[in-house]
Amino acid sequence: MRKHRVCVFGAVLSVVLCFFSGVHVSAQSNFNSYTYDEWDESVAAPASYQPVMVKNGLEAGSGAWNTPQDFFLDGDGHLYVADTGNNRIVVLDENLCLVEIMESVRMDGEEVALSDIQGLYVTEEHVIYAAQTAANRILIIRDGEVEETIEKPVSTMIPQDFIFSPTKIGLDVYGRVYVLSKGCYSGLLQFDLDGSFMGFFGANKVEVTAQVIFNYMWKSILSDEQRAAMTSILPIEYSNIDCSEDGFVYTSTVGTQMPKSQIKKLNPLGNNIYYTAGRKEFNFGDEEFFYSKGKVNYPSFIDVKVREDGFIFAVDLTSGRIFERDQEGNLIAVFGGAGSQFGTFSTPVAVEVYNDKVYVLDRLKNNITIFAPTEYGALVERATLLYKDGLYDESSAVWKQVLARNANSTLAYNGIGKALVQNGDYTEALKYLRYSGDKYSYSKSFGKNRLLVVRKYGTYVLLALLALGLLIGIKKQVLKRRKRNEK
Amino acid sequence: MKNKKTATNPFYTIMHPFDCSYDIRYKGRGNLYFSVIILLVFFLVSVFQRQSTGYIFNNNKLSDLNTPLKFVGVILPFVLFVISNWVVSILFNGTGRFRDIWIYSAYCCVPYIIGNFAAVLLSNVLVMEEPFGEYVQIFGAAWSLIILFIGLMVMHEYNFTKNLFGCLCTIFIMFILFFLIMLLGSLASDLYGFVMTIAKEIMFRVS
Repeated sequence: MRKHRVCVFGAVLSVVLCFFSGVHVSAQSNFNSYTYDEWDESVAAPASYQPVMVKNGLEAGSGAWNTPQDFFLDGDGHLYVADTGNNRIVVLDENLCLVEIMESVRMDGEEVALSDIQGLYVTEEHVIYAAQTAANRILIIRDGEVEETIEKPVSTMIPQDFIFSPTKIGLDVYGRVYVLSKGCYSGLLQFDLDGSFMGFFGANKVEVTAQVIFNYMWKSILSDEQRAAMTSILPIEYSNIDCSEDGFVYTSTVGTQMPKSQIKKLNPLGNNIYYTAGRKEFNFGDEEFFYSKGKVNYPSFIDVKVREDGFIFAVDLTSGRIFERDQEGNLIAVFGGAGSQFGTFSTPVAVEVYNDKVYVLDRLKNNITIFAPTEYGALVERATLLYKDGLYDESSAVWKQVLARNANSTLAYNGIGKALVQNGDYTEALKYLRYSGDKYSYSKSFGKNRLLVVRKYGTYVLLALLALGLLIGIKKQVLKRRKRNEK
Repeated sequence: MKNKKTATNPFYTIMHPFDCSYDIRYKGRGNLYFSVIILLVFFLVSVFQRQSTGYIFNNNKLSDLNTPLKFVGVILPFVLFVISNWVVSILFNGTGRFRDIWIYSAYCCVPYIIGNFAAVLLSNVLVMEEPFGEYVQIFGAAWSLIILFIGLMVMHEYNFTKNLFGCLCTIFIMFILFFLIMLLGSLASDLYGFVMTIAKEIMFRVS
């Protein structure tokens, strides 16, 4: 009997100890995965992307890299790394194994070093566009030979003292070249197929902050000379560009004082059309900001990349995280982070996607990290795409699988809720839509449900009221007659 | 007439602000207990409004309810208003007494409370495109303000312009009082922090 009791005591003790000693399954990634709830507060979520490989220059077989500024992945899985500090371009395959090193190119019969390359673009025909910032030109290289260069354009739109220092390049589906020039506040430079300058494209607008309004007021009372002495207010430059298959130009912005619309989707007129379904501007990065030295650290996006299926990836310099959103601005995944461990970055500068993998280049750590989607991440992407294509029932089934892995997913609740609305099951839909925090859809579903309820019970309620009215009328008549009779 | 309804009935007040205000001031017909009950109901309705407004119109996080704060949010403006109005009446030769202003102001809250309550009920059956609840609320608030204005005019024996000026002064004094309270609060918390630090330091040295 006594032995038995000791046994029970031991079992209880071990269970209690388990609770207090913090025995748990160790997390696999070195960063937190999260998503945002309807109050824009972060809540835990399973990892969507996991780091699968990280390689620096030595491991890739090309010798150490020195502050690489950009890289580009072409359609065949070849990765062109602008090894800026070593004045060369390193070509790797999709598994980061060395294919080729380009140290110099032939130009007009002479060998020219590939010095100070800050931006790269490679076409399907393996024509390399390399931005030589210090040399103020863009080299167009075909088979190791410079075919053409783009230099400071001659145009009435361009002031005499304009310095053409190209940093990033993007080509749209028609072959037009978009160039980002350092210190140019008028937007992207747009070149036609034949290399002629077409004009500036999609300038950032000046952010209206308290400082701007204050300066504006001052300027209205100062003299011209005093006004000239004041610092002029300029819009913030773009940090990177990417052109999508459907003809839109995506841009990212660093160092803003407002977190809204840091990633822009520019239509051919140069206007931002990247909004939520409710036509609102939104934060591409984090909703919660951290403070240091009395200042808010807003996200600062250094690169943006659009995948063929429409998902947008952008890397945030402030937090070292990569954010993935869909075309309506819904947060699909957050991964990476600042740090020195596997899967974290110190200064990420570029992001590329190939098939379902995400490649991130780190300027300070001189390495490339490859992320692959987890089962959960792939499910979220699949469900989003199915829903976008109008396959509500199919997407609902996938969203249910997502929900089984993450009960915090407002996207999943929303997807299931909207599928239920499509099938006419409004009462059930209301439950899911409420969890998703989508008041607009909830209101619509609520209205339809209300109509059904009124149609179902409306007649009975009206009949009951009529009957009640009749009864009261009869009672009054009876009482009146009784009174008359008494008299 | 069964019995002439008196100012003790707030539902009579909201229909007859002139008579009622006069009765409270000169016939002592106001009921202090009733005014306290009205304020309590006001507080309860404000909590009800926060928690039970229909999901479509409710922008509050239901799990973040702070009842004491809500209580202060209802009672503090009321008390501040009554105090400031009484101060203004003293300055401008108003005839109303503190007790009368308190009772009448409490009675005047009734249309606002009813409007809010109705808005909560409506919000549970309406959709986003039908903001009728808001209209009901605005109607209730306007009614409350109008009878408050009329009542104060009668109570203090003011004419229209003087009463308008008095009300503006009241609002101004309310802000000053509020500012003083905030200042006092922050000073008190600073003082508390200072005393606590010293106490901690002494404890640390002694032990």
